[in-house]
Amino acid sequence: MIGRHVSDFIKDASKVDEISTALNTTGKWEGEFFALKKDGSSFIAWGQKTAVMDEDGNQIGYQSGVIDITSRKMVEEALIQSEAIQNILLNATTDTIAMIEKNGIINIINDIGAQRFGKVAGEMVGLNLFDFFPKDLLAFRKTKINSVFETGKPILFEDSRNNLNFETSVYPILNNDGEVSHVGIFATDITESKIIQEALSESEEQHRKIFESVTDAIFICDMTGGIVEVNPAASIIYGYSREEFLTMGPADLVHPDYGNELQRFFMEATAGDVFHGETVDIRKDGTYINSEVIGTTLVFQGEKHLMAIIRNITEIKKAREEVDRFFNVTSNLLCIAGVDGYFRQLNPAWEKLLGYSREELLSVPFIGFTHPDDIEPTLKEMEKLLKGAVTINFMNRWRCKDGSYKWLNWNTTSFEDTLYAAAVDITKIKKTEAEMKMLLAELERSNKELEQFAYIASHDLQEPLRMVSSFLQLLNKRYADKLGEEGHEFIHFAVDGANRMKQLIVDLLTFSRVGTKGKDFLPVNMNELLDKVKRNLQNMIKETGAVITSDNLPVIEADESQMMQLFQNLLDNAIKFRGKQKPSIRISIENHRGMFEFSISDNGIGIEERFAERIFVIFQRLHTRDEYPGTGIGLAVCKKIALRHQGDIYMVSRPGEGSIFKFTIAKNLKRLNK
Amino acid sequence: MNQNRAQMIEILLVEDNPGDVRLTREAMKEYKIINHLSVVSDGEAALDFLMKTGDYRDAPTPDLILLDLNLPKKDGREVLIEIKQNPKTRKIPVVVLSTSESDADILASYENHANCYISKPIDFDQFIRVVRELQNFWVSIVKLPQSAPD
Repeated sequence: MIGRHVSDFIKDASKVDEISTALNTTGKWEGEFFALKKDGSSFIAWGQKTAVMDEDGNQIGYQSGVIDITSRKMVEEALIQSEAIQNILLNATTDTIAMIEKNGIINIINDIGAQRFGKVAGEMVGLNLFDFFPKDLLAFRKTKINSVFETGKPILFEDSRNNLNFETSVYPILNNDGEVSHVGIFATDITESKIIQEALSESEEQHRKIFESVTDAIFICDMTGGIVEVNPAASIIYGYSREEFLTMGPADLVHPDYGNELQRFFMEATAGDVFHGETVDIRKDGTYINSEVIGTTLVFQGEKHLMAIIRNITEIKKAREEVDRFFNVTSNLLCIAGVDGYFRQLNPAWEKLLGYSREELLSVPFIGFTHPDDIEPTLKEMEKLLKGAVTINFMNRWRCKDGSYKWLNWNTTSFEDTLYAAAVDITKIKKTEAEMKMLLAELERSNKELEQFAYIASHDLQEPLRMVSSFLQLLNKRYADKLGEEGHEFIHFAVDGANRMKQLIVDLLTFSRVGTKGKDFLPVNMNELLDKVKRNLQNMIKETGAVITSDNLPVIEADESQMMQLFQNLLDNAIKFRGKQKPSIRISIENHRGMFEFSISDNGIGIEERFAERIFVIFQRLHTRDEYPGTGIGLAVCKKIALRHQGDIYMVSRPGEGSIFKFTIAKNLKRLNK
Repeated sequence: MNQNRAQMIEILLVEDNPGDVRLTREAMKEYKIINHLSVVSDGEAALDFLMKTGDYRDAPTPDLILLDLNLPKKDGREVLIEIKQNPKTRKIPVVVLSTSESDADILASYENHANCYISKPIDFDQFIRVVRELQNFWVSIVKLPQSAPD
């Protein structure tokens, strides 16, 4: 090294100049420099150079020393750097960071911490932290912090100051003896996060409430198909507990037949679509339910999940199916149609009745099936319907596939541009109606004919009869002396025959008129009527000494003249067919439900039981004309009258004691008048 | 005057049945009733007779008309209506004499102002009595207006 210039050992030329200048002016230099090694590498060196003087103060040379300070320098650098980092770290946070001694003296506090007390960091170091705490918090905080000194265990507490919330943690710092010499304090302002958290938990609360209280089952599944959360409704619907659900997947709940639907659900929901579908699910007890499923994705616990909302539509479906069953089973024609004139929905009865297929019926506007003559009234009716009217018993004809027509009777209502209609096939009724109309016309015609007949009988038939009998009688008068006994007898028979024929014609006419010439049913006082009949029969009664007694009779609704005829015929018979005693006739009344029953009992010759029916047949007689006169019309007319009054007549035989005739008359006949 | 009328009145019988005409004549003969009886056998002839038209220009005006209902050509009902609607003839009493016992015929006759309706009895003796009573009533008892001089 001897003989070499100092500058050869100094890396930096400017350093050499600095040293020279210092030596020239002050005579000494010390400082750091980069020293060069022989191999060309360098190190950090501390060197000093002092001018060496003689006794006279003349410079005789330099005394120099060099120390390698590389290691020291590195430690120093690191220290400076760590202090800086510490400062950066202390102030890079929004939390308060402080370190205090046991008595509260602040060793370290960061800027933010100081700011929170309205100070700067430098001011606070060396002061007592407790002096900065507000009075209301001092005791609480002091207790908390001192507890860390005492126990050596970190704590975390929350409090609030000036409407700010702080979460504070206090950590113990131990010295070399293992004692807590200091504590570190970290306080975080949680005011905002607290607000957010409260808001969050509020909305979460609401969601949870909805989740727990809805009656639809809600399943949350992870993307592999495992159930991770269910709501209580799911348990109610399916019968599994939440814990059981969490071990299951949707495939465990859906009926195997609906596997495809389940797959579609996963695909569509995963793709981000909202899935709608229906499945049949199996409950824990093995029974089935019909489910309506809405599926979508959601983020749950930070991850994408599938959510399925399931409504139990078993009852709805059942009700719908029941309605469908009615829809399908009824022979009534049910349909739903649009204002466009097309059917939307039809029940099978349509196909059955008209012979078209469902497609044929749906493909054409329905007016196309209407009979041409009925189109206009049908369109008018539809117009009314769409204005809100309701169609009741509207009738039109529909063409069947075979070209024939059916009469339909419609009841229709409209709702929001849709027609709901029910029709009944009344073709048969219409046919019957037409037939009845024809029959009625026929009946009217035949009644007219009958009247004509009655007229012929009363006039035209009697005229020739009159000729026969009158001229025979004239003959008898004029030629009495020439006829002889036999001649008179013959004429008598001929005249008698003509007379009887006239009577028969009159009786026949009377009989036929019971039905055709009947009068309205009006109230008739039967007591008064009986008096009239007795007056009509007074000669007969006087002659025979007949005694007629009667109950108090009611007022009934009847055809008065026919009632007279009925009573007169029966009383006339009772007297005519008298026995050896004086006729005694009793009239009684019984009031039955819906009927009056009149009884006329006599003490006459009586009638054998076997003739009970025959006596009511027209012109049937039980006696010769010589014994008892008459044509045998009386009881037949009585029966016809009773029948017209919705009643009947019959005879009760009392052999040897006379007979009882009973006839009934319906009550409330007035309403049958028209 | 009444005496004269009573002894001899003019009767028009409208009857198509010759048997009935004969019976009527016989009945009158039986009681020796002397009337002048003219007979026409259909409705049209009856009206001609009364209006003195056609074959009946010289026909007398009858004091009494016996009218059958069922007649050829013009029905007795129509004849009755025409007689009673015509001021010239409506004063002449009309006795409807018919075999019909139909209520409708009886009612219609009175509604059309027939003076009475008699149902021809089937018994000849009865018939004689009817004719006698008619004679009695309409000729002897009833006062009729004098025939208007034409």
